Amino acid sequence: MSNSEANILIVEDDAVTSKVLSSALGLVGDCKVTDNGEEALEIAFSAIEKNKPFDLICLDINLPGLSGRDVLKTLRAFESKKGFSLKESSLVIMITANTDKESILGSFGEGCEAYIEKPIDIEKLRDVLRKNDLL
Amino acid sequence: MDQELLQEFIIEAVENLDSLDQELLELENNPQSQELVNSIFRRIHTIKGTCGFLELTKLEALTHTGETLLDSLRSGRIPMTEAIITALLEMLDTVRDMLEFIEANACEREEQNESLLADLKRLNEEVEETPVEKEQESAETIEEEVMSEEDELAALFKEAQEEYLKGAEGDTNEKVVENEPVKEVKKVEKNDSVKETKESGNKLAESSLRVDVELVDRLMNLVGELVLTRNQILQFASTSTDSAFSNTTQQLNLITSELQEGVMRTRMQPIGNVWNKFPRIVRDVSKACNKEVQVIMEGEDTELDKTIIAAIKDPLTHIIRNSIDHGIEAPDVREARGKDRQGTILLSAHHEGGSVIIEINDDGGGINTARVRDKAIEKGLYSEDVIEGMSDREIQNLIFHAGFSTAEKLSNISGRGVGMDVVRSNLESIGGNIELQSTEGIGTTLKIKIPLTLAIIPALIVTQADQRFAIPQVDLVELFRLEGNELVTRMEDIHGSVFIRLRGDLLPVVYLGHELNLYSKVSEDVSEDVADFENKNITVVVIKIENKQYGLVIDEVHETQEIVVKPLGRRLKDINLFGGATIMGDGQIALILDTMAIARQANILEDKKSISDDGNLDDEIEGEKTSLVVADVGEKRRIAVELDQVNRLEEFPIESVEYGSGSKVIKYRGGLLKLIDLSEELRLDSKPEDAENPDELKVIVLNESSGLYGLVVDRVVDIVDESVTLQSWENCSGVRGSAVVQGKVTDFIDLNHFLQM
Repeated sequence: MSNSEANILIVEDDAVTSKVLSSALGLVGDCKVTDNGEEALEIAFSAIEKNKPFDLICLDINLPGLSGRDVLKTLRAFESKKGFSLKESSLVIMITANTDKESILGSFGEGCEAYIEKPIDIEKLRDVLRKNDLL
Repeated sequence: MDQELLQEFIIEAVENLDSLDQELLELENNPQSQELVNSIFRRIHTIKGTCGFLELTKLEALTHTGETLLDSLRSGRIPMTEAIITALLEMLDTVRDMLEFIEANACEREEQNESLLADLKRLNEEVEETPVEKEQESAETIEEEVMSEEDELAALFKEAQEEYLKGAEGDTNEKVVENEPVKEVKKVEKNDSVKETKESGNKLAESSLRVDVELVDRLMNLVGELVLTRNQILQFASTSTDSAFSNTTQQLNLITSELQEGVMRTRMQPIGNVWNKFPRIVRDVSKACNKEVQVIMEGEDTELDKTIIAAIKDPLTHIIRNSIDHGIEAPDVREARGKDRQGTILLSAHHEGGSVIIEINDDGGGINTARVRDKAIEKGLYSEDVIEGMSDREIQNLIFHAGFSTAEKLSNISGRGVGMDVVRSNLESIGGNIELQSTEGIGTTLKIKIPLTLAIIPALIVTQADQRFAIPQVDLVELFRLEGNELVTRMEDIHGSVFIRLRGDLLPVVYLGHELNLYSKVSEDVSEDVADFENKNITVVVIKIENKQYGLVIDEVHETQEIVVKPLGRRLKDINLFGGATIMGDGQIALILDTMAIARQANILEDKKSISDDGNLDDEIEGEKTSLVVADVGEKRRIAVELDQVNRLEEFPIESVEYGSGSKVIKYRGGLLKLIDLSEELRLDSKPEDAENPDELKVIVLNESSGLYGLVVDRVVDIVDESVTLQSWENCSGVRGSAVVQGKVTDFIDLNHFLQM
């Protein structure tokens, strides 16, 4: 899976962070960007239906409307309905300024794979990608 | 690392592990359940993810391997086997160990469990050779179903789409079905139930929240205080004539009671929280013993106070282990006896009054009464004669005796000889009790009765010498009063211990006043002068401890109250006669009596003094008798010296005391007699009020190898023949120990101590 074209979805309502992420992740693959959860789900589901699920989804938690954690929950439920294996499921990184226990442990409980606090430490992001064979 | 986050993670992970244990065992019985595999996978996934975040790399690596294995199971790539379950269970144990280590040391252990890691990896790869065959096979068998369920499938996916997806059009359903028929069919079965559990799970998560136990404890304490204040106000209101005030007080009364109930309920946990560990234990133990055992649970949602839940965990675990190890027979034996090869352990719990009854029943071999009897004789617990007179039930209950174990070979599962007696004392320490009923060949039932809560208990308030004491209601059997002549006809003095005849039994009597050194006129007179019973009466509280009863003589009985148990301060903790304290309605303190400790101090726990049906204790008292000189020193102290040591009993006029080399001496038989004034040495200054002749010095002259010594006492009471069991005290200089002589606690003087001074 490493190199080549990974499918990446960035869900982030802060323009600066969004920019940072897409330029950093642009090296890894093809980035789609959205600033709200509803749209994120739409994009993610249609990608799944087209049998091209995202390899990586970066999710902000504090979004207008649906929160990042809602998106994560719904996505995982859908994947589970589809009977996705670990490989088929998207790698989800929460990217957020929330540093409270509840957010962190809750997100993992809802099935994210990594949790990166803002401001983004690119090295940490790299570590996560490396660990998941995306880099 | 953020310590708080780490703590929280550990708590959550341990909870997850507990559920995982259960789910894995369920999975073993129901290997087709996709739902279970999914749930197990998700939990492991969560732990793994969080470990990664917390940089717990060892733990992450282990759970990652487990996750991969589970993922293969989930996708149906490899079939479920017992080996996999065992490996996964082992992984859970290891994870638990690692978490404990992290909790204690805030860092990860250096070494990794490599063999487990390798096992998990091997299990994941090993099967890779066969999956094709497997898949085909199942595909064939299920193909028909696939066809018939295609519609249903389509409907489901449509539903899923409507739910999650706006406008996305998918014709992928059929494709998926074609690709992976096996998986899809499984999913059809599962989908509904998955959704259901998810929904109910969500509801539960939203309607409950995690609260710090400390906070709940503090609330409980505050409610306790409130209850006490309420009691005080109620007492005050009962004397007030102001009706508005009375009404408000009633209101306060009601609200407080409800609040108390509410807070107590927050501390309640279902007993299932303890029980859900048992299927795993049963699995492991029965595997180790080569037995087949199933557990059935009834009433697992019966609720108990958290502290009690914690306290009963170990005893119950021990009982279960015992049941499997000693109770349930090997499968072949069971078959030969016409039983199911698989043994059954039935756990049940229900409320009964203010208590919870837990029963553990096994359909094993029951207790071999003859073997228990032989063992008890062999171990010298009882003489043959005594055991002959015991009922089967009594003999069976001997297994609760300390140091008793009938297992022919010691196993590491049970039978270390510290079994059932520890179970019983643990349960008793939380105010519970345990009974055993067993029929040989059919099975054994253990019935445990424990209070719902320890914080607020009903208790009987009594007074002794104008001080109030609380006796927990659970210890009480009955109350009665002996008056006038009854004191002669119904009280027996047997070898220095007092008994009361009660419905044909002999009830050992303990005077609370003696035990606490709190004498009041009433009880003092009775014991001091056994012959003078005119116009006297005593009040007796019959108390049950273990399987014995005794009568506690107190001055007065008051009412029964709900009392709030307060722990004793650190300084008072060493006085083990009290189980705690409580504050009464008038603001005064009452100590809560520990009835067990009082019995122990009064030495009535010795089996030789247990109640026997015919009231004849002579056979049972066999120890060697010693002749003792008993004397009073000061108002409350009774001492004894062995008659062998005594040369003479003398009286001297006080004026004859002289001082030689700094100590009191008296000219005696042409020499000097060194005096040891016990009331001075033992720091007792009060003389008995009724000392007959204050000008006379009563001296017990003792014959020691180094010469004669005079022990100055206040009154020589008697010379008695008694077989005594000394209870020795630490830090009690000058006293070898204490024993009950003629119904009173008597200190045995250690003469050497005084000679060395």
